[in-house]
Amino acid sequence: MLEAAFTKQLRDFTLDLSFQVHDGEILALMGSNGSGKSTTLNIIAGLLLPDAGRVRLNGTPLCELAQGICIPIEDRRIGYVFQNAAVFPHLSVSENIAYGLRARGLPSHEITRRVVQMMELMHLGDLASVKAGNLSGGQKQRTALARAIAIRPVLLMLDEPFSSLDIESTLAVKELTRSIVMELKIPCIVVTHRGADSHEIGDRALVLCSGKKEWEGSPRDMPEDCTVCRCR
Amino acid sequence: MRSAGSISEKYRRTLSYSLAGLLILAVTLYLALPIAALFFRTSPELFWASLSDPLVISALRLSLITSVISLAVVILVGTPFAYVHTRSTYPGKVIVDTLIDLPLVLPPAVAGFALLVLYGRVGLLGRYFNMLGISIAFTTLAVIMAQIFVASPFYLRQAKSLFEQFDQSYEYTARTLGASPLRTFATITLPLTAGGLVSGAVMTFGRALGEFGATIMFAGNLPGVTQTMPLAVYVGMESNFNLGLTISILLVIISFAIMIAVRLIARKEVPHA
Repeated sequence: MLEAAFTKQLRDFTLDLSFQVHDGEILALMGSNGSGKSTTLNIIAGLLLPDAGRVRLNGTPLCELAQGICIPIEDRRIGYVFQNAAVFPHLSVSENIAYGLRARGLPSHEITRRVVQMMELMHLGDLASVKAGNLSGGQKQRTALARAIAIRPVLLMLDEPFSSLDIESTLAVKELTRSIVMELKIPCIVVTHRGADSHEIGDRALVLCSGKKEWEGSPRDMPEDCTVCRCR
Repeated sequence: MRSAGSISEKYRRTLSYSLAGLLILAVTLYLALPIAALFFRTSPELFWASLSDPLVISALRLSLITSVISLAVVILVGTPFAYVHTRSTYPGKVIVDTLIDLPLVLPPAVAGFALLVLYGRVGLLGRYFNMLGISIAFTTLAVIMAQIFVASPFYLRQAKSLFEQFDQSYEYTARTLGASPLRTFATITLPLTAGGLVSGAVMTFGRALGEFGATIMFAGNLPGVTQTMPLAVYVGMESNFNLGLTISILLVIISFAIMIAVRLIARKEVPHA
């Protein structure tokens, strides 16, 4: 389970947030542009330091400033897929998936096994040797997801994963994400600003407005007058 | 009326095409004629005969060795420097930025004079080196130092701009996947910026090879020790015209090859996803 409670002074407002995500649960983190969604993910991943607060994963502190604890990014084992997928364009699809496994020093037979497994799971079989820079938007997103899952993360975070995908790819990525989270029984945060996405993928939705929690609950119960609904 | 109008239009178009052609021809000739003159002034026999002259061989050897060493130092120190400089915020960063660019506008003779004032036998630092029995000015080391001072901005500016424009989500992703900062730099940042870095390195090599002003001020003009190709051209012009001509042609050929290399590398650069 992920437990996060932190504050961070941003340019226009203070991000002041407290929330939990249970194992096997998908939290749809919503809000208009610049409301602090990506900053929240970056703090959890360790790419940004909060001004105060803590982030705990399965009871283990990842960041607890009061006690001087801040686990390095590479040791947090968080699968983080950025908005642009950030597949490494100079590496092939299989090398992309193997990247984290190599960095973590896994034996080569285990790397090969997991890469094959991920390629099958994400329907990337025939693209193994294709340079990632030449993939379509949907293929890039699936490669990025496969790469993040391959390291067997303890938390999965996807930042606007559907923004550049067509309807078919969006459905495929949503289904894959859902099945992976259920299978691995890990908490998952999906950042989106579309209400439809939160209905289809989110077990729970949390709406951010200028760094504060505006609403939290089941996506179906989201009030008509909350920021995200107004923006639709 | 219609016919007069179309004649005037035709006349106007012919005139503008002629003026454009003339402009392109004038600029091209201005740049190409001096180079062509070098080739017309000599003959293949004279060129090949001068190539085996000990002065030419020693200048060519010294120029290539010092330029390669200068380039290696600039790449090995400049790449991590440019990366750390770009990724960090520290007081005086703007001043460092200006200092990086300074050698580009500073007259090379002033750069050489400044190096002499610092590292010369009675220089600010040179006097202490001298006390330890280390002499820098008027040695091959001085040639390398002058080349690094004058040529390094070409690489540093390029590296800085590449790292500034580099999409950091690639680096962040690599880190979250378990890569250390060093591994991320070596396997992600460097390969994705390599094309631009190589073209910066090639320009640096070319500038180091052609360095004259700072070298003659700080390192002098000793054959075999500090007399690089541009200095040998200067000597050749006074004593042996053919020798100067041969070295000049060699420098033109190398410079041309460098420019072609830069264009080819720029074309091959890996696009970001």
